[in-house]
Amino acid sequence: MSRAHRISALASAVGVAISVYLLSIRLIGVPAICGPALGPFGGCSKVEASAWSSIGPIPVAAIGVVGSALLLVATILHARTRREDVLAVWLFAALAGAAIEIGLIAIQAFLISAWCVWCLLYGSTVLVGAATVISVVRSYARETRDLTRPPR
Amino acid sequence: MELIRRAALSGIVVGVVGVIVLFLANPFSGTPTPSMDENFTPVAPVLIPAEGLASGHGLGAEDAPVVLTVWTDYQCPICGTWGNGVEPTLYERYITDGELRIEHRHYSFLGEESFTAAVGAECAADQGKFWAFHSYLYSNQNSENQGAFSAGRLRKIAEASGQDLAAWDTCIADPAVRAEVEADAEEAKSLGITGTPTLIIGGWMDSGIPAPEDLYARIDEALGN
Repeated sequence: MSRAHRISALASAVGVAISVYLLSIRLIGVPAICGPALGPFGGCSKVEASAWSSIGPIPVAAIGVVGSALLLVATILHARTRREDVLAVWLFAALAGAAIEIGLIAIQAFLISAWCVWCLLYGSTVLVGAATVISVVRSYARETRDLTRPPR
Repeated sequence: MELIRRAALSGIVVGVVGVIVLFLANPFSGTPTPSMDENFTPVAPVLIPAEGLASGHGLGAEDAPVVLTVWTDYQCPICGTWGNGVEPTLYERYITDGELRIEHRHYSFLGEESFTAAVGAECAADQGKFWAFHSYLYSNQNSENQGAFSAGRLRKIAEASGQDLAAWDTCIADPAVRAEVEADAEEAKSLGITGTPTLIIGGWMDSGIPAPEDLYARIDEALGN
């Protein structure tokens, strides 16, 4: 397993853990371990209570669990098989997740005016995952180009 | 590499569509969706206070030594946990003994149904039946801005909580009541409140629901125990 794969696997595993935690507290109806002690990042109650914490009946945390689990599985599969179709799925999930995370961070900043430390940590795992898959794709592109380039 | 290019493009498109869907889920954008049946029987609240223990916007003796001010939004799920779970516990532990009074304040910020629910509660307060309406709201919470607190359902809640419906109907149409609820939200912001529920005892303020032992310790400290 390359360094990029290890980083992505770790970030995705942390992402699964955080999103499972956020989903469980939402389903149970208890607040996150958070609060004013965390300074500007302690606005978890407000973020959790906001309408952006779900899309219709689906909590955003549930989407996070599925997304991070998909990233984790794709990372491990690609590390083992190096198949292009697996890399494509990994890249797709990572870029979609990163775009959504950037949107969620903007919503916290401009619409809710509160930061939730758990949401930011989760967002970091997705963005780190996206950065690593991009580095893997660049390496793959270089290798492919080298293989298709005619010998001098 | 063609597959990789297509995956990259699809990922970005799906992500952007996801963000747009999230923004469209925003309750501030417009009219609530009346997706819930308006011909319903409201669920009765967990806590029905004894005669004389609910007055004004509060629960407990008016001369209780400790006053816990609670800012909530009627659509916030954690506030539902507070109203259906913590308030009844505090009632048994402190309020029946005359040691604590809970004063409710509105911090409506989750969308239109938060405001209409709070307006309904203010109109119940005009009839001296605020707490009954307030408790019914928490017992009948559902998804945010999906019609749980539509006009029809709020009227059912008003009826179930014993309001004079003719007076209540007149009151909720009064823009001055809505203005009071909006002014409450502005006051919450000016106090630096960023989430709900927010609890205040004297100079102490905290958002969310504290662990029971922490909350009891805070109240006991204020009681001088």
